Amino acid sequence: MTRHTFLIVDDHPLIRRGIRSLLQSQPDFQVVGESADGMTALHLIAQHRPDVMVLDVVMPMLGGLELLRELRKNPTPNLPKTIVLSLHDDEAYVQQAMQLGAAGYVLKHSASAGLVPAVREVLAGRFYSSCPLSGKPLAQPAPEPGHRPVDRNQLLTTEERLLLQLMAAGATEEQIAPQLGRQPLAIPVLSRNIALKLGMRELADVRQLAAQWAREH
Amino acid sequence: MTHFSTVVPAPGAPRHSVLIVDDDRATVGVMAELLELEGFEVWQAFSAGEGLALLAQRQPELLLLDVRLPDADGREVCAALKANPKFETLFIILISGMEVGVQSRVSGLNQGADEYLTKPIQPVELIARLQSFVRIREAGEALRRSNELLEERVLVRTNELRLANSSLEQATAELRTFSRRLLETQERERRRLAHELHDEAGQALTVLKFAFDSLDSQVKDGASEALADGRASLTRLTQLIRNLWQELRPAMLDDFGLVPAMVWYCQRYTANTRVEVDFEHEGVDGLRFDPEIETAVYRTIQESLTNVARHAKVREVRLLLWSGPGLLHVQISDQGQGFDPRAGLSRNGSCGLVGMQERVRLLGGTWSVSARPGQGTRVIAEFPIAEACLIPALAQDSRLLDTQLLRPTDFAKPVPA
Repeated sequence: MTRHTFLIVDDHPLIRRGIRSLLQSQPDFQVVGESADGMTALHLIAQHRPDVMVLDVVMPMLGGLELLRELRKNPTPNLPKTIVLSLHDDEAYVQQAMQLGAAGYVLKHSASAGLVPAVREVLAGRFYSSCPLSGKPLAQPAPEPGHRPVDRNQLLTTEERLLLQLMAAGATEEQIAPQLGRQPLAIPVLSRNIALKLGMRELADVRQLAAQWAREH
Repeated sequence: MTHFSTVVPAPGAPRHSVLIVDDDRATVGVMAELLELEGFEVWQAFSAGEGLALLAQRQPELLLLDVRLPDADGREVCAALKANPKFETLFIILISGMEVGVQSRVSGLNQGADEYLTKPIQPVELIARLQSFVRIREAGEALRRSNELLEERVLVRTNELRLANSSLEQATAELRTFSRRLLETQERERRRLAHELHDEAGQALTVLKFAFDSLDSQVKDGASEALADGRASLTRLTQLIRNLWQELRPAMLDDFGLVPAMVWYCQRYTANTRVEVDFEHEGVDGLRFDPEIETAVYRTIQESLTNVARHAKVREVRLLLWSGPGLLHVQISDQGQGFDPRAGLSRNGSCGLVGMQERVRLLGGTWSVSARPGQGTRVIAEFPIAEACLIPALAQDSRLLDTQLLRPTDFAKPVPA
């Protein structure tokens, strides 16, 4: 029988004990080390070369994700396959862990039922997540909502629209200011803001646009 | 003789003074007596030279000036006096004989004389003219005094206002500082509580879950009901704590930035309120902004969406997030009930809109709401962003270690060897 070796990294001793007893329930699993933080874990990995690391995300000193980053910085052969234990059930956290090289993602409160199956999957070379990913496989992530070019005209505030209308009607800054309840000095600032939103460089372009804008609206 | 009301001034006040210049000594004598009786102080001169000499020493208010003097023409003396600013207030009455025609009187008045009398002078007329002068002079005097008084008061009030203004400015500045601190403290406390709930309560609940799971396999049938109750309680408690920490401070915002946090929030929002969010964004995803700005954007959206769910009575709300050079723009709009923004901003107890506005303004941003009853609501917040505030999410790798927040557990244990 092939025996698989484990390192448990969690700052909470009772959780470590729970995980240990879950893993020890399998005859072919052997826990070779425990650590309460990422720093110690780095040493234990070098020392014991475990097959699998069960890793808590939130820990003092060096957290789980930072530990994964450290391991990626200095890749050595025979790094343990890592199963991340987390309280966060959002997809973004699962993807982040996966990008950092985690092989599995298990929610803490489903560890009792989910950890051993996760380990088996990971040992077989497949990514495992106990976190429901809205029913979608990770390979085809959902299209990003709303990631499309914004109609710039929508960005204008009511005040800015009024300013454009008055400009189009040929009003000067001194005439516009009181209508907006502003000091004349505020008008160039407002105009610059409009130029910024509409992607223009010159204030003159704003005046030109005002005329065009007034014709269209 | 007709009785004239006296022009004797009130006791203590100076008497009105008159200088009479005429070469007809008899006339001068009669007039002087008459005027003294009326309470005037009277000086006499019998030629232009004498008159001017007296004028250099005394300052009469009134000058009775004969036109035909041995050494000068009274009209020319009158013109010269009127041209001199020193005698600006001197009231001049020209006196001439009957043989002087209308033309001559007009020319006298044109030379600046204030009145014109012809000889023989009727005492009644003279006194009446002088009384009218006195009334005008006194009214003018009273006007001048009340003017002075008024100016003095204006000065005092202006000073008071200036003082009040500067203390108001100071109070406003203090209030600004205070509300900024309040917001910062609130946000810090939320963050701390969220971490505490996540790290401490969350872990403890996990341990409990392990305990329940391991008990399941050992326990005999009789106790399984109690165990199931305990497990149900534990699940509820876990859910409660999770909701609490996520509402206090969404970890997504700190860990992944605005867009992922908003996607996450909107999903929860739609699930809870059944209001769909049409979320559009450009130039924001994958970027990190100043944490204070990210927090303000998140809270603005959270507050606005909550208002929409509570008041707008709509099935859908639009959320727009855009950033370009120097500017981050947030817009939340709906086609719902709308409201009167002035009432909404001033209504007692409705801190929502005011709080939002204040949060944005404290970061140098602008905030506006346009709404009308029945015509929907649109909230826009814009933040100035320095280029340095933009941190590509990829750069996070290197900064995470440095910026990680210290947690209570950091202080509980010694650094392992």
